Amino acid sequence: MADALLLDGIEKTYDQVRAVDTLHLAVPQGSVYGLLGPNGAGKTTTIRMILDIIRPDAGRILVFGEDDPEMRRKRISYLPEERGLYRKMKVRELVLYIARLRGMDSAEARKRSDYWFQRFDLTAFADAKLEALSKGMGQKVQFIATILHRPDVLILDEPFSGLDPVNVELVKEVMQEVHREGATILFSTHQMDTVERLCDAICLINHGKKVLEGSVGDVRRKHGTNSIQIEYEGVAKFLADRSLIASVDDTGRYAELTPAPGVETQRILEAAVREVRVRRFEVMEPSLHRIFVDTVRGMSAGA
Amino acid sequence: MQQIWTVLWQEYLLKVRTRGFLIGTFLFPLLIAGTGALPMLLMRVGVKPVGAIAVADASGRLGDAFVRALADTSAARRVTRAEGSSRRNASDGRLETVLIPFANRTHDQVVADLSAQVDQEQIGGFLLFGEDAVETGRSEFYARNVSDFVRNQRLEDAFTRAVRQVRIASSNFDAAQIEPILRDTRLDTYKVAEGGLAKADRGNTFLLAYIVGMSLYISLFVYGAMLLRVVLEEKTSRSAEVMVSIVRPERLLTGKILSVALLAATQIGAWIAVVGLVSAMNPGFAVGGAQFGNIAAQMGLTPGLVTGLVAFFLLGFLFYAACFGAIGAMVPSEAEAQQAQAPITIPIVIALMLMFLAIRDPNGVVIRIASFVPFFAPILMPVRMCVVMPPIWETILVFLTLLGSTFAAFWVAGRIFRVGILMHGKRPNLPELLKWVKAR
Repeated sequence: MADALLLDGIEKTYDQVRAVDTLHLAVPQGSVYGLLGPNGAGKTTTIRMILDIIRPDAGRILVFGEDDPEMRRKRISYLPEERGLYRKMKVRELVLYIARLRGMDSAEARKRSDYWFQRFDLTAFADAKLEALSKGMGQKVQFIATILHRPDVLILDEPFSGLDPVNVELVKEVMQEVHREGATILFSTHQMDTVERLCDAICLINHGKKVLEGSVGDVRRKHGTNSIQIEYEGVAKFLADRSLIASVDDTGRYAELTPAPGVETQRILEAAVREVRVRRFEVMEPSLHRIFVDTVRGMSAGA
Repeated sequence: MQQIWTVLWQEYLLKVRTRGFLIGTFLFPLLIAGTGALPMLLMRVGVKPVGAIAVADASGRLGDAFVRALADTSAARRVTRAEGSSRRNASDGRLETVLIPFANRTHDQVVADLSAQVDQEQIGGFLLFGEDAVETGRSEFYARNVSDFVRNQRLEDAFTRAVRQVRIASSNFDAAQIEPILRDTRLDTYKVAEGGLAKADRGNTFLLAYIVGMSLYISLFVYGAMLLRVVLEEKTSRSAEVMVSIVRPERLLTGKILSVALLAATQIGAWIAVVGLVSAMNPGFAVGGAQFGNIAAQMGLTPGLVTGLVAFFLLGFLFYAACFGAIGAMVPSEAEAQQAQAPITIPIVIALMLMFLAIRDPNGVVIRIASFVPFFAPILMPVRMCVVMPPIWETILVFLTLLGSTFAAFWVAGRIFRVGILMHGKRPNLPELLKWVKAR
């Protein structure tokens, strides 16, 4: 079975800056794929190339095995990070307009949009102009417009930014539904816990290059089992002790750390107990968040 | 194709239902009619004379002749007016005159005395004829307001007649012989059309060419600016990215350009319909008693000419639309658009200037060469066609040049649009722009 999306060595350079550097990427059909990376890593450029919004300097992009930009527009539906809407249009009008552009039957589009308006609590605003809507509501409208025609592939760039927790959950729920119906989803986000919960596979890119790739489980296992999470109360001076701890993410009440080479987990627990009240202490695979931070920091330290 | 149509229709609906469009459609003709007709109407309003005009004649020979001549001009005017001539003039009211003897006063004394009377509003103004007025042909007029050029003209006319009369009387010539020699003359113009048929033309051709040229000029500005905004909107509302992920940028741009074209057609169609309707319902309307068709025929609007005009207008419109669209895609904000559109608006203004030359010398070398410039052709060719139909091969050649340029403009605009609508920083300079166009 051909991959839903296959990027074959694509490249894009802007004014001597290599935004995307010979990137290979395969998104299997029916998967949920997380495209991760720090700001400016080249995620949006990559996505824009997939949709033929900008063209790669080199490389091929295949969608279901076909190299045809028109086919990509037909089969992929895209929710960009930069969400803009025609402010003078009404909510329903915009959704139906986009459905028409995608060749949907208008009666069917009307029926489905009514369903989604209800689902997203927008029924009362269906005839309001978009300029009257809050940012979050506008985002929901755009999400509906993206999924209305049941696309084969859904590409979502930061779909949760700007949404309140209730709506984040709603969007996640709908993403899973769409996925169950057979759609392939590629999305980028900075919420690592969401990635862990939703994604079958991930790819981490930095400076336009692929840094990590694989299923979430594989990636975590590859990074060892020696990550420690502590929840504590008090002042944890030991976290700064480099003879004990190689690196740490500390929020003041919660820390995730990697022990220094050769240091037993036990010694770290002892040090912790001496200084703070430990509420939780867990040895585990590192979280994606931790892997993300370590990898990106490691790269900039090495650079 | 389906997508272009969908974009076209949606954008069209969005604009048509705005209040601005309604106001524009129905207020604009009123405004144009108003600005055109108002000065004419005001000219017809009679200005009430402020008071009698004193005539102080030092020569002693001109006074009576002048008063008679002045009375004559107003009588003559009243007659032409009764005949329904279009050359009506203001301040038809009789100018009252009072002859005042010079009575051995010096010029300066008379000016001082009469000025005092003007100041006290006893008289409206005064004329001074010096002792040698007949010889020099000079006179002086004093009044509070000397800007009433209609009145001034009448005074001058009457003075000229009076002087002429006195000069003839004092010469050896016989007045009865001289008068016919000095009678007014006039020039009637006849336009020789194809087939050598001549037809009287009292400025009709000029009027037609002028109206056509002006309408094109105004439409290019109005709708060009509208298109620029429509494209720019895509950037400022940040809707571009979603749209071009669904529709190819070139198609989106084409749909937008065509929507503005349809909008223009709607608006212009509505205006023509309004004029037609009003003149049909009200024969006394400004267009005159004649029906619309008659006027058109009188102006020389043959079906062939109309086809040519529409063809050049449409093509020229699309050419400029592509240019304005490219500018809209280039600039980050409306404020910057003002400056950035200079490379397009300046050629339109130049085309308007060339238009006047084209009316006078439609087949001159300058105009013939300028017609091949795609920026000028949309205005020059229709105007030339109105004045003197250019050779058919030349018309076709210019048309093909414009057609090619329009395709090229669409191609370049599409390239600029594709890159530009995702850019939000500063306006690109020329090398950057070339890079956009050349981008893969």
